[in-house]
Amino acid sequence: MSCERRVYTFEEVEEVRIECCNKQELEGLEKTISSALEQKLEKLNILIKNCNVYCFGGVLLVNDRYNICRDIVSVTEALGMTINPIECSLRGKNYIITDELVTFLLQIGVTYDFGKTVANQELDDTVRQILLKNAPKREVSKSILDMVVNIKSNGEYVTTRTRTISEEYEEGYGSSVFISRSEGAWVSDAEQVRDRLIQLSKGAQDTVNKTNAQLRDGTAKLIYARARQMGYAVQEVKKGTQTQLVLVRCE
Amino acid sequence: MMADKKIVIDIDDKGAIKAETFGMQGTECLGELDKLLKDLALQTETVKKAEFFKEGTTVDNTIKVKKV
Repeated sequence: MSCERRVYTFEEVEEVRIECCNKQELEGLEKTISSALEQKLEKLNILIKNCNVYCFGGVLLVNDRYNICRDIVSVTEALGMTINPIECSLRGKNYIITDELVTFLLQIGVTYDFGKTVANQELDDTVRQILLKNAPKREVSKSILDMVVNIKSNGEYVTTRTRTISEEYEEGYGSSVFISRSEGAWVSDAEQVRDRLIQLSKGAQDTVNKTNAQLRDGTAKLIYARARQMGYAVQEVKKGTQTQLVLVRCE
Repeated sequence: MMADKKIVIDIDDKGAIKAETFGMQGTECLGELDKLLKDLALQTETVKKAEFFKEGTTVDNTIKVKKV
């Protein structure tokens, strides 16, 4: 009777769920960032309400026809938004305003429209062309977006790990005797994904902290500009996370 | 000579604004703060200091000629 030793090799696949950044966290982040953007735009709106304002997704075109918004650049920058003066066919001074938070939201799969918060006028062909020509390009990482889509559909990031298993049998006529089993190491992208998710989560927290500071600075700049118009001499002092304005008017 | 009017405003990183006025009497301080913080402070809480209840005093120095 002859026997034969045979080695069977197969792959074992297991599901791995990564919990360090879940759907709930992403939704919370979306809510926080959207609310921060809303607050920034509400403050900006106070300043630009007498200008012609046009909106195209996450970009604003402000046409200051009579040059009445002298503090627009300093206040917008203090709010952490990007403002660029542009030359175009509209009379007066013109600015393109946007915010990096729009890109951040896009990165987590959310499209934000400034038009929800800022009073704006209907776009005609001329304005549409100006906005299309000057709108900033937004770069979104496809791999992060894929991770976000994965988290949103599974509640948390789901990936797999695989390992190779070899089993040796001695096989004869009609019989098979198990001899040994060897298991290879698990192979997975889980660790890399976990690192990237931690980075994403940390980056998001930094963004939120930065945004709070920007809201504070923007508010301070708005009050500063108003106080100067009211005839006050203003001194700005940073005190830890607080900003103090001391306004003095001699009469 | 009238005293300087002074307003100290603290803004924290959560967006809360605290303002205190000095050298203003009566409702003047409320008017100044309203102009300054209009549309910025949506929920407000006011604590009136002693100065609020002091009426600004004016001196009438018109000379009246008494007819004899």
